Amino acid sequence: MNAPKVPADTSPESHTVRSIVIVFSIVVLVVAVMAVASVRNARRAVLSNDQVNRTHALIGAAGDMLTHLAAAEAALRSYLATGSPYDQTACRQALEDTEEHISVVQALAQEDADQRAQAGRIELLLRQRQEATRTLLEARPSDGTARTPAGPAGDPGISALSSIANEVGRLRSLALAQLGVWDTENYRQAQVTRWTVWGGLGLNIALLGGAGWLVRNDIAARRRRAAVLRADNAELKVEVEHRTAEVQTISHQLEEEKLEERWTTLALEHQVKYNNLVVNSLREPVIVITKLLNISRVNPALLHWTGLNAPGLMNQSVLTLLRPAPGATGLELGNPLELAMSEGRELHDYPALLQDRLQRVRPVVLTLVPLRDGDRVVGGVIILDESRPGTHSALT
Amino acid sequence: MKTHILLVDDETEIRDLIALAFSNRGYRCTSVATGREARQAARNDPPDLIVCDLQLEDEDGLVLLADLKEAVPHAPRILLTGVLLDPKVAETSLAGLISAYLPKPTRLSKVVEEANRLLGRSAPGAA
Repeated sequence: MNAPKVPADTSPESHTVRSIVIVFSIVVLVVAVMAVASVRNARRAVLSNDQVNRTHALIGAAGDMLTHLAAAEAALRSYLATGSPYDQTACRQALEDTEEHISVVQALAQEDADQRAQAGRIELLLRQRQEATRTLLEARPSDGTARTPAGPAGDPGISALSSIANEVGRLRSLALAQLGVWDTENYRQAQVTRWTVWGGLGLNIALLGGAGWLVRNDIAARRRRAAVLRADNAELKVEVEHRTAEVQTISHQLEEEKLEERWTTLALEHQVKYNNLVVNSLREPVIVITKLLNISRVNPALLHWTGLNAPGLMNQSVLTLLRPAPGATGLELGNPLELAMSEGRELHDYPALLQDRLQRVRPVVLTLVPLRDGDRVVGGVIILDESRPGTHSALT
Repeated sequence: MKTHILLVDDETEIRDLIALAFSNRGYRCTSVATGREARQAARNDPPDLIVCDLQLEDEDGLVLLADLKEAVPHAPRILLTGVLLDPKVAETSLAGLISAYLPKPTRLSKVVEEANRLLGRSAPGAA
Protein backbone atom coordinates (compact mmCIF):
# COMPACT_ATOMS: atom_id res chain seq x y z
CA MET A 1 0.00 0.00 0.00
CA ASN A 2 1.45 3.32 -1.01
CA ALA A 3 1.87 5.79 1.80
CA PRO A 4 0.22 9.12 1.12
CA LYS A 5 2.62 11.76 -0.07
CA VAL A 6 3.34 14.50 2.41
CA PRO A 7 2.97 17.80 0.58
CA ALA A 8 6.12 19.88 0.44
CA ASP A 9 6.18 22.78 2.85
CA THR A 10 5.77 25.88 0.67
CA SER A 11 5.05 28.37 3.39
CA PRO A 12 6.84 31.74 3.34
CA GLU A 13 8.73 30.74 6.49
CA SER A 14 10.24 27.67 4.85
CA HIS A 15 11.15 29.76 1.78
CA THR A 16 13.00 32.23 3.99
CA VAL A 17 14.76 29.42 5.85
CA ARG A 18 15.84 27.89 2.57
CA SER A 19 17.12 31.27 1.34
CA ILE A 20 19.08 31.84 4.53
CA VAL A 21 20.55 28.34 4.35
CA ILE A 22 21.61 29.02 0.76
CA VAL A 23 23.13 32.39 1.72
CA PHE A 24 25.10 30.89 4.59
CA SER A 25 26.22 28.03 2.37
CA ILE A 26 27.57 30.59 -0.10
CA VAL A 27 29.26 32.48 2.76
CA VAL A 28 30.92 29.27 3.90
CA LEU A 29 31.96 28.55 0.32
CA VAL A 30 33.44 32.04 -0.09
CA VAL A 31 35.31 31.72 3.20
CA ALA A 32 36.62 28.35 2.05
CA VAL A 33 37.78 29.82 -1.27
CA MET A 34 39.49 32.69 0.61
CA ALA A 35 41.15 30.21 2.93
CA VAL A 36 42.33 28.03 0.03
CA ALA A 37 43.63 31.06 -1.86
CA SER A 38 45.45 32.35 1.22
CA VAL A 39 46.95 28.97 1.99
CA ARG A 40 48.06 28.53 -1.62
CA ASN A 41 49.56 32.00 -1.60
CA ALA A 42 51.35 31.34 1.67
CA ARG A 43 52.68 28.08 0.31
CA ARG A 44 53.80 29.82 -2.91
CA ALA A 45 55.37 32.60 -0.81
CA VAL A 46 57.34 30.02 1.14
CA LEU A 47 58.35 28.35 -2.08
CA SER A 48 59.22 31.68 -3.60
CA ASN A 49 61.17 32.60 -0.52
CA ASP A 50 63.15 29.38 -0.86
CA GLN A 51 63.79 30.15 -4.52
CA VAL A 52 64.88 33.71 -3.70
CA ASN A 53 67.18 32.45 -0.98
CA ARG A 54 68.59 29.84 -3.32
CA THR A 55 69.14 32.42 -6.05
CA HIS A 56 70.82 34.82 -3.66
CA ALA A 57 72.95 31.95 -2.38
CA LEU A 58 73.84 31.10 -5.98
CA ILE A 59 74.85 34.67 -6.70
CA GLY A 60 76.76 34.77 -3.45
CA ALA A 61 78.46 31.46 -4.10
CA ALA A 62 79.41 32.53 -7.62
CA GLY A 63 80.79 35.78 -6.24
CA ASP A 64 82.72 33.96 -3.56
CA MET A 65 84.04 31.58 -6.14
CA LEU A 66 85.25 34.50 -8.22
CA THR A 67 86.82 36.11 -5.17
CA HIS A 68 88.70 32.99 -4.29
CA LEU A 69 89.74 32.59 -7.92
CA ALA A 70 91.02 36.13 -7.90
CA ALA A 71 92.86 35.38 -4.67
CA ALA A 72 94.32 32.29 -6.24
CA GLU A 73 95.51 34.33 -9.23
CA ALA A 74 97.00 36.93 -6.92
CA ALA A 75 98.72 34.26 -4.88
CA LEU A 76 99.99 32.65 -8.08
CA ARG A 77 101.44 35.91 -9.35
CA SER A 78 103.05 36.55 -6.07
CA TYR A 79 104.47 33.06 -6.02
CA LEU A 80 105.71 33.33 -9.53
CA ALA A 81 107.39 36.59 -8.55
CA THR A 82 108.68 35.60 -5.12
CA GLY A 83 108.75 31.82 -5.12
CA SER A 84 107.42 32.07 -1.56
CA PRO A 85 106.14 28.80 -0.25
CA TYR A 86 103.56 30.87 1.58
CA ASP A 87 102.18 32.15 -1.67
CA GLN A 88 102.18 28.64 -3.11
CA THR A 89 100.19 27.37 -0.19
CA ALA A 90 97.84 30.34 -0.39
CA CYS A 91 97.30 29.70 -4.08
CA ARG A 92 96.54 26.04 -3.55
CA GLN A 93 94.19 26.91 -0.71
CA ALA A 94 92.40 29.47 -2.81
CA LEU A 95 92.01 26.93 -5.59
CA GLU A 96 90.45 24.47 -3.14
CA ASP A 97 88.08 27.14 -1.93
CA THR A 98 87.21 27.86 -5.52
CA GLU A 99 86.55 24.15 -6.04
CA GLU A 100 84.30 24.16 -3.06
CA HIS A 101 82.31 27.19 -4.22
CA ILE A 102 81.86 25.91 -7.79
CA SER A 103 80.33 22.74 -6.30
CA VAL A 104 77.93 24.92 -4.34
CA VAL A 105 77.13 26.91 -7.49
CA GLN A 106 76.43 23.78 -9.44
CA ALA A 107 74.22 22.41 -6.69
CA LEU A 108 72.27 25.63 -6.46
CA ALA A 109 71.93 25.86 -10.27
CA GLN A 110 70.48 22.35 -10.67
CA GLU A 111 66.84 23.42 -10.65
CA ASP A 112 67.15 25.78 -13.62
CA ALA A 113 68.33 24.47 -16.98
CA ASP A 114 69.95 27.72 -18.12
CA GLN A 115 71.68 28.24 -14.83
CA ARG A 116 72.79 24.65 -14.81
CA ALA A 117 74.33 25.02 -18.31
CA GLN A 118 75.97 28.28 -17.35
CA ALA A 119 77.40 26.75 -14.20
CA GLY A 120 78.74 23.94 -16.35
CA ARG A 121 80.53 26.39 -18.59
CA ILE A 122 81.99 28.19 -15.60
CA GLU A 123 83.19 24.92 -14.18
CA LEU A 124 84.86 24.01 -17.43
CA LEU A 125 86.71 27.30 -17.61
CA LEU A 126 87.58 27.05 -13.96
CA ARG A 127 88.97 23.56 -14.37
CA GLN A 128 91.09 24.75 -17.23
CA ARG A 129 92.38 27.63 -15.18
CA GLN A 130 92.98 25.46 -12.18
CA GLU A 131 94.93 23.05 -14.29
CA ALA A 132 96.98 25.87 -15.75
CA THR A 133 97.60 27.31 -12.31
CA ARG A 134 98.69 24.00 -10.88
CA THR A 135 101.03 23.54 -13.82
CA LEU A 136 102.57 26.93 -13.15
CA LEU A 137 102.86 26.22 -9.47
CA GLU A 138 104.71 23.01 -10.14
CA ALA A 139 106.92 24.57 -12.76
CA ARG A 140 108.21 27.34 -10.48
CA PRO A 141 110.42 26.13 -7.67
CA SER A 142 109.57 27.43 -4.28
CA ASP A 143 113.04 28.58 -3.46
CA GLY A 144 112.09 32.08 -2.53
CA THR A 145 114.08 33.69 -5.28
CA ALA A 146 112.56 36.68 -7.01
CA ARG A 147 111.84 36.58 -10.70
CA THR A 148 110.33 39.09 -13.02
CA PRO A 149 106.81 37.91 -13.79
CA ALA A 150 105.79 37.43 -17.43
CA GLY A 151 104.07 40.37 -19.14
CA PRO A 152 100.52 40.45 -20.07
CA ALA A 153 101.08 38.60 -23.35
CA GLY A 154 102.74 35.67 -21.58
CA ASP A 155 100.16 35.37 -18.85
CA PRO A 156 96.86 33.81 -19.92
CA GLY A 157 95.63 34.12 -16.34
CA ILE A 158 94.05 37.56 -16.69
CA SER A 159 92.08 36.64 -19.82
CA ALA A 160 90.97 33.38 -18.20
CA LEU A 161 89.88 35.21 -15.09
CA SER A 162 88.11 37.74 -17.25
CA SER A 163 86.31 34.97 -19.16
CA ILE A 164 85.30 33.29 -15.97
CA ALA A 165 84.16 36.64 -14.50
CA ASN A 166 82.08 37.23 -17.63
CA GLU A 167 80.48 33.80 -17.32
CA VAL A 168 79.83 34.41 -13.65
CA GLY A 169 78.32 37.74 -14.63
CA ARG A 170 76.04 35.95 -17.07
CA LEU A 171 75.10 33.49 -14.37
CA ARG A 172 74.33 36.36 -12.03
CA SER A 173 72.19 37.99 -14.75
CA LEU A 174 70.25 34.76 -15.23
CA ALA A 175 69.71 34.51 -11.50
CA LEU A 176 68.67 38.14 -11.20
CA ALA A 177 66.31 37.69 -14.15
CA GLN A 178 64.78 34.74 -12.40
CA LEU A 179 64.46 36.80 -9.21
CA GLY A 180 62.62 39.39 -11.24
CA VAL A 181 60.26 36.77 -12.59
CA TRP A 182 59.67 35.47 -9.07
CA ASP A 183 59.08 38.98 -7.77
CA THR A 184 56.56 39.65 -10.52
CA GLU A 185 54.82 36.35 -9.91
CA ASN A 186 54.81 36.96 -6.17
CA TYR A 187 53.37 40.41 -6.66
CA ARG A 188 50.71 39.02 -8.95
CA GLN A 189 49.83 36.30 -6.46
CA ALA A 190 49.75 38.83 -3.63
CA GLN A 191 47.38 40.99 -5.67
CA VAL A 192 45.19 37.99 -6.46
CA THR A 193 45.14 37.02 -2.82
CA ARG A 194 44.40 40.58 -1.78
CA TRP A 195 41.52 40.82 -4.24
CA THR A 196 40.30 37.37 -3.25
CA VAL A 197 40.30 38.23 0.45
CA TRP A 198 38.79 41.68 0.09
CA GLY A 199 36.38 40.53 -2.57
CA GLY A 200 35.37 37.56 -0.48
CA LEU A 201 34.99 39.77 2.56
CA GLY A 202 32.86 42.22 0.60
CA LEU A 203 30.77 39.42 -0.86
CA ASN A 204 30.27 37.88 2.56
CA ILE A 205 29.27 41.23 4.02
CA ALA A 206 26.80 41.64 1.16
CA LEU A 207 25.51 38.10 1.63
CA LEU A 208 25.18 38.55 5.37
CA GLY A 209 23.47 41.86 4.72
CA GLY A 210 21.13 40.05 2.33
CA ALA A 211 20.48 37.38 4.92
CA GLY A 212 19.78 40.09 7.47
CA TRP A 213 17.36 41.69 5.02
CA LEU A 214 15.64 38.35 4.46
CA VAL A 215 15.37 37.81 8.21
CA ARG A 216 14.03 41.33 8.68
CA ASN A 217 11.51 40.80 5.91
CA ASP A 218 10.52 37.49 7.38
CA ILE A 219 10.06 39.04 10.83
CA ALA A 220 7.97 41.83 9.29
CA ALA A 221 5.89 39.28 7.39
CA ARG A 222 5.42 37.23 10.55
CA ARG A 223 4.36 40.36 12.43
CA ARG A 224 1.85 41.18 9.69
CA ARG A 225 0.52 37.65 9.76
CA ALA A 226 0.33 37.77 13.54
CA ALA A 227 -1.60 41.05 13.30
CA VAL A 228 -3.98 39.51 10.75
CA LEU A 229 -4.34 36.48 12.97
CA ARG A 230 -5.08 38.69 15.96
CA ALA A 231 -7.68 40.59 13.95
CA ASP A 232 -9.20 37.30 12.76
CA ASN A 233 -9.17 36.01 16.31
CA ALA A 234 -10.87 39.17 17.52
CA GLU A 235 -13.53 38.77 14.82
CA LEU A 236 -13.87 35.12 15.65
CA LYS A 237 -14.20 35.97 19.31
CA VAL A 238 -16.97 38.45 18.53
CA GLU A 239 -18.65 35.85 16.32
CA VAL A 240 -18.30 33.21 19.03
CA GLU A 241 -19.71 35.58 21.62
CA HIS A 242 -22.57 36.39 19.29
CA ARG A 243 -23.26 32.71 18.62
CA THR A 244 -22.93 31.91 22.31
CA ALA A 245 -25.47 34.60 23.09
CA GLU A 246 -27.76 33.17 20.39
CA VAL A 247 -27.34 29.67 21.75
CA GLN A 248 -27.98 30.94 25.27
CA THR A 249 -31.12 32.71 24.07
CA ILE A 250 -32.32 29.59 22.28
CA SER A 251 -31.41 27.47 25.27
CA HIS A 252 -33.34 29.84 27.52
CA GLN A 253 -36.30 29.70 25.15
CA LEU A 254 -36.16 25.91 25.11
CA GLU A 255 -36.05 25.86 28.88
CA GLU A 256 -39.06 28.14 28.99
CA GLU A 257 -40.91 25.88 26.55
CA LYS A 258 -40.03 22.83 28.61
CA LEU A 259 -41.30 24.61 31.69
CA GLU A 260 -44.57 25.47 29.92
CA GLU A 261 -44.95 21.86 28.75
CA ARG A 262 -44.44 20.52 32.24
CA TRP A 263 -46.90 23.08 33.60
CA THR A 264 -49.53 22.29 30.95
CA THR A 265 -49.21 18.57 31.51
CA LEU A 266 -49.47 18.99 35.24
CA ALA A 267 -52.39 21.40 35.00
CA LEU A 268 -54.28 19.09 32.64
CA GLU A 269 -53.63 16.07 34.83
CA HIS A 270 -54.90 18.06 37.74
CA GLN A 271 -57.95 19.11 35.75
CA VAL A 272 -58.74 15.58 34.58
CA LYS A 273 -58.29 14.24 38.07
CA TYR A 274 -60.67 16.88 39.42
CA ASN A 275 -63.23 16.20 36.71
CA ASN A 276 -63.04 12.49 37.42
CA LEU A 277 -63.59 13.17 41.08
CA VAL A 278 -66.67 15.19 40.24
CA VAL A 279 -68.10 12.51 37.97
CA ASN A 280 -67.21 9.65 40.28
CA SER A 281 -68.85 11.36 43.21
CA LEU A 282 -72.27 11.54 41.55
CA ARG A 283 -75.00 9.38 43.03
CA GLU A 284 -76.60 8.83 39.64
CA PRO A 285 -75.07 6.29 37.24
CA VAL A 286 -73.27 8.02 34.37
CA ILE A 287 -72.30 6.41 31.07
CA VAL A 288 -70.10 8.28 28.60
CA ILE A 289 -70.52 7.01 25.02
CA THR A 290 -68.91 7.60 21.69
CA LYS A 291 -70.72 8.84 18.61
CA LEU A 292 -71.36 5.20 17.70
CA LEU A 293 -72.90 4.47 21.11
CA ASN A 294 -69.91 2.51 22.46
CA ILE A 295 -69.20 2.89 26.16
CA SER A 296 -65.99 4.90 26.89
CA ARG A 297 -66.48 5.58 30.57
CA VAL A 298 -68.76 4.73 33.49
CA ASN A 299 -68.86 5.96 37.05
CA PRO A 300 -68.88 3.87 40.24
CA ALA A 301 -72.63 4.39 40.65
CA LEU A 302 -73.33 2.46 37.44
CA LEU A 303 -71.06 -0.38 38.46
CA HIS A 304 -72.85 -0.52 41.76
CA TRP A 305 -76.31 -0.63 40.08
CA THR A 306 -75.33 -3.35 37.62
CA GLY A 307 -72.71 -5.38 39.47
CA LEU A 308 -70.57 -5.26 36.31
CA ASN A 309 -66.89 -4.28 36.15
CA ALA A 310 -65.54 -1.34 34.17
CA PRO A 311 -63.02 -3.20 31.94
CA GLY A 312 -65.78 -5.55 30.76
CA LEU A 313 -67.94 -2.61 29.68
CA MET A 314 -65.31 -0.61 27.79
CA ASN A 315 -65.99 -0.33 24.08
CA GLN A 316 -69.20 -2.39 24.37
CA SER A 317 -72.32 -0.93 22.76
CA VAL A 318 -74.49 0.83 25.35
CA LEU A 319 -77.46 -1.00 23.80
CA THR A 320 -76.23 -4.24 25.37
CA LEU A 321 -76.91 -2.58 28.70
CA LEU A 322 -79.74 -0.25 28.00
CA ARG A 323 -82.77 -0.55 25.81
CA PRO A 324 -85.89 1.57 25.46
CA ALA A 325 -88.74 0.45 27.67
CA PRO A 326 -91.58 -1.18 25.80
CA GLY A 327 -94.20 1.36 24.95
CA ALA A 328 -91.76 4.28 25.02
CA THR A 329 -92.41 6.91 22.42
CA GLY A 330 -90.66 6.96 19.09
CA LEU A 331 -89.88 3.27 18.94
CA GLU A 332 -91.56 2.87 15.55
CA LEU A 333 -88.92 5.20 14.06
CA GLY A 334 -85.98 3.17 15.33
CA ASN A 335 -83.81 3.09 18.40
CA PRO A 336 -84.34 6.46 20.09
CA LEU A 337 -80.76 6.61 21.37
CA GLU A 338 -79.31 6.08 17.92
CA LEU A 339 -81.68 8.61 16.40
CA ALA A 340 -81.01 11.22 19.07
CA MET A 341 -77.23 10.84 18.74
CA SER A 342 -77.32 10.99 14.96
CA GLU A 343 -79.52 14.10 15.11
CA GLY A 344 -77.64 15.66 18.02
CA ARG A 345 -80.75 15.86 20.20
CA GLU A 346 -81.10 15.50 23.93
CA LEU A 347 -83.38 13.03 25.60
CA HIS A 348 -84.80 13.74 29.03
CA ASP A 349 -86.42 11.25 31.40
CA TYR A 350 -86.75 8.65 28.66
CA PRO A 351 -87.99 5.33 30.00
CA ALA A 352 -85.52 2.51 29.56
CA LEU A 353 -84.51 -0.87 30.95
CA LEU A 354 -81.06 -1.41 32.50
CA GLN A 355 -79.66 -4.96 32.48
CA ASP A 356 -77.37 -6.05 35.27
CA ARG A 357 -74.73 -8.76 35.57
CA LEU A 358 -77.32 -11.40 36.33
CA GLN A 359 -79.38 -10.44 33.27
CA ARG A 360 -82.01 -8.87 35.42
CA VAL A 361 -83.60 -5.72 34.08
CA ARG A 362 -84.35 -2.66 36.04
CA PRO A 363 -86.60 0.15 34.89
CA VAL A 364 -84.85 3.52 34.74
CA VAL A 365 -85.22 6.88 33.12
CA LEU A 366 -82.34 8.22 31.13
CA THR A 367 -81.16 11.65 30.09
CA LEU A 368 -78.94 11.82 27.03
CA VAL A 369 -76.82 14.92 26.35
CA PRO A 370 -74.76 14.89 23.13
CA LEU A 371 -71.25 16.20 23.56
CA ARG A 372 -70.23 18.72 20.92
CA ASP A 373 -66.95 20.00 19.61
CA GLY A 374 -68.02 23.04 17.69
CA ASP A 375 -70.78 21.84 15.38
CA ARG A 376 -69.83 18.21 15.52
CA VAL A 377 -71.26 15.63 17.88
CA VAL A 378 -68.28 13.70 19.23
CA GLY A 379 -70.01 11.63 21.92
CA GLY A 380 -72.63 11.72 24.60
CA VAL A 381 -73.33 11.45 28.30
CA ILE A 382 -76.20 9.26 29.63
CA ILE A 383 -77.37 9.86 33.18
CA LEU A 384 -79.71 7.31 34.72
CA ASP A 385 -82.25 7.71 37.47
CA GLU A 386 -84.76 5.59 39.22
CA SER A 387 -87.82 5.20 37.16
CA ARG A 388 -90.75 7.23 38.42
CA PRO A 389 -94.12 5.69 37.82
CA GLY A 390 -95.93 7.18 34.89
CA THR A 391 -92.89 9.03 33.64
CA HIS A 392 -92.70 9.25 29.83
CA SER A 393 -90.57 11.42 27.63
CA ALA A 394 -91.79 12.90 24.42
CA LEU A 395 -89.28 13.39 21.73
CA THR A 396 -87.90 16.97 22.15
CA MET B 1 -34.77 44.92 45.95
CA LYS B 2 -36.61 42.36 43.85
CA THR B 3 -40.41 42.26 43.72
CA HIS B 4 -41.70 39.72 46.20
CA ILE B 5 -44.42 37.21 45.26
CA LEU B 6 -46.21 34.87 47.70
CA LEU B 7 -47.30 31.55 46.13
CA VAL B 8 -49.90 29.41 47.89
CA ASP B 9 -50.71 25.90 46.55
CA ASP B 10 -50.92 22.55 48.27
CA GLU B 11 -49.17 20.71 45.36
CA THR B 12 -45.38 20.89 45.55
CA GLU B 13 -44.71 20.45 41.84
CA ILE B 14 -47.13 23.24 40.94
CA ARG B 15 -45.53 25.58 43.48
CA ASP B 16 -42.04 24.76 42.13
CA LEU B 17 -42.99 25.39 38.51
CA ILE B 18 -44.69 28.70 39.18
CA ALA B 19 -41.79 29.82 41.43
CA LEU B 20 -39.28 28.88 38.70
CA ALA B 21 -41.27 30.81 36.07
CA PHE B 22 -41.28 33.94 38.23
CA SER B 23 -37.63 33.56 39.36
CA ASN B 24 -36.47 33.27 35.74
CA ARG B 25 -37.99 36.67 35.17
CA GLY B 26 -36.27 38.29 38.11
CA TYR B 27 -38.86 37.97 40.89
CA ARG B 28 -38.28 36.82 44.43
CA CYS B 29 -40.73 34.06 45.45
CA THR B 30 -41.94 32.60 48.73
CA SER B 31 -43.81 29.27 48.28
CA VAL B 32 -46.14 27.83 50.94
CA ALA B 33 -48.61 24.94 51.01
CA THR B 34 -51.14 25.95 53.67
CA GLY B 35 -53.16 28.95 54.76
CA ARG B 36 -51.34 29.05 58.11
CA GLU B 37 -47.96 29.23 56.42
CA ALA B 38 -49.24 31.92 54.06
CA ARG B 39 -50.38 34.17 56.92
CA GLN B 40 -47.06 33.67 58.69
CA ALA B 41 -45.06 34.48 55.54
CA ALA B 42 -47.15 37.61 54.84
CA ARG B 43 -46.51 38.88 58.38
CA ASN B 44 -42.74 38.24 58.21
CA ASP B 45 -42.15 39.50 54.70
CA PRO B 46 -45.12 41.33 53.18
CA PRO B 47 -45.44 40.36 49.51
CA ASP B 48 -45.98 42.69 46.56
CA LEU B 49 -48.35 40.18 44.89
CA ILE B 50 -50.17 36.98 45.94
CA VAL B 51 -50.95 33.94 43.74
CA CYS B 52 -53.29 31.50 45.48
CA ASP B 53 -55.05 28.22 44.70
CA LEU B 54 -58.72 27.72 45.57
CA GLN B 55 -58.52 24.30 47.22
CA LEU B 56 -55.94 24.19 49.95
CA GLU B 57 -55.17 21.40 52.32
CA ASP B 58 -56.29 23.17 55.48
CA GLU B 59 -58.82 25.70 54.25
CA ASP B 60 -60.63 27.43 51.44
CA GLY B 61 -58.47 29.73 49.31
CA LEU B 62 -61.09 32.46 49.27
CA VAL B 63 -61.07 32.65 53.08
CA LEU B 64 -57.29 32.98 53.00
CA LEU B 65 -57.45 35.68 50.35
CA ALA B 66 -59.90 37.67 52.46
CA ASP B 67 -57.49 37.58 55.40
CA LEU B 68 -54.51 38.46 53.24
CA LYS B 69 -56.42 41.38 51.76
CA GLU B 70 -56.68 42.82 55.26
CA ALA B 71 -53.08 42.00 56.16
CA VAL B 72 -51.47 43.22 52.92
CA PRO B 73 -54.03 45.51 51.30
CA HIS B 74 -51.64 46.94 48.66
CA ALA B 75 -50.75 43.51 47.20
CA PRO B 76 -52.84 42.37 44.19
CA ARG B 77 -54.30 38.83 44.49
CA ILE B 78 -54.51 36.30 41.63
CA LEU B 79 -56.73 33.22 42.02
CA LEU B 80 -55.03 30.40 40.05
CA THR B 81 -57.11 27.24 40.24
CA GLY B 82 -57.89 24.00 38.44
CA VAL B 83 -61.51 24.21 39.51
CA LEU B 84 -63.10 25.54 36.39
CA LEU B 85 -65.22 28.56 37.00
CA ASP B 86 -66.87 30.76 34.44
CA PRO B 87 -64.31 33.51 34.17
CA LYS B 88 -66.92 36.27 33.88
CA VAL B 89 -68.86 34.91 36.85
CA ALA B 90 -65.64 34.51 38.85
CA GLU B 91 -64.44 38.00 38.18
CA THR B 92 -67.82 39.56 38.82
CA SER B 93 -68.70 37.74 42.02
CA LEU B 94 -65.17 37.79 43.37
CA ALA B 95 -64.29 41.28 42.22
CA GLY B 96 -63.94 42.58 45.75
CA LEU B 97 -61.67 39.75 46.81
CA ILE B 98 -59.38 39.01 43.87
CA SER B 99 -57.63 41.14 41.26
CA ALA B 100 -57.62 38.40 38.57
CA TYR B 101 -58.81 34.83 37.99
CA LEU B 102 -56.75 32.41 35.91
CA PRO B 103 -57.58 28.73 35.28
CA LYS B 104 -54.65 26.37 35.80
CA PRO B 105 -54.04 25.27 32.23
CA THR B 106 -53.20 28.96 31.47
CA ARG B 107 -49.62 29.26 30.17
CA LEU B 108 -47.09 30.33 32.75
CA SER B 109 -46.02 33.22 30.53
CA LYS B 110 -49.61 34.49 30.68
CA VAL B 111 -49.60 34.17 34.49
CA VAL B 112 -46.41 36.23 34.66
CA GLU B 113 -47.83 38.71 32.16
CA GLU B 114 -50.91 39.17 34.34
CA ALA B 115 -48.69 39.65 37.40
CA ASN B 116 -46.70 42.32 35.52
CA ARG B 117 -49.92 44.08 34.57
CA LEU B 118 -51.18 44.11 38.13
CA LEU B 119 -47.84 45.35 39.41
CA GLY B 120 -47.87 48.09 36.80
CA ARG B 121 -44.59 46.95 35.20
CA SER B 122 -43.54 46.42 31.58
CA ALA B 123 -40.66 44.14 32.59
CA PRO B 124 -40.24 42.06 35.73
CA GLY B 125 -37.40 42.33 38.15
CA ALA B 126 -35.97 44.72 40.66
CA ALA B 127 -37.98 47.51 42.18
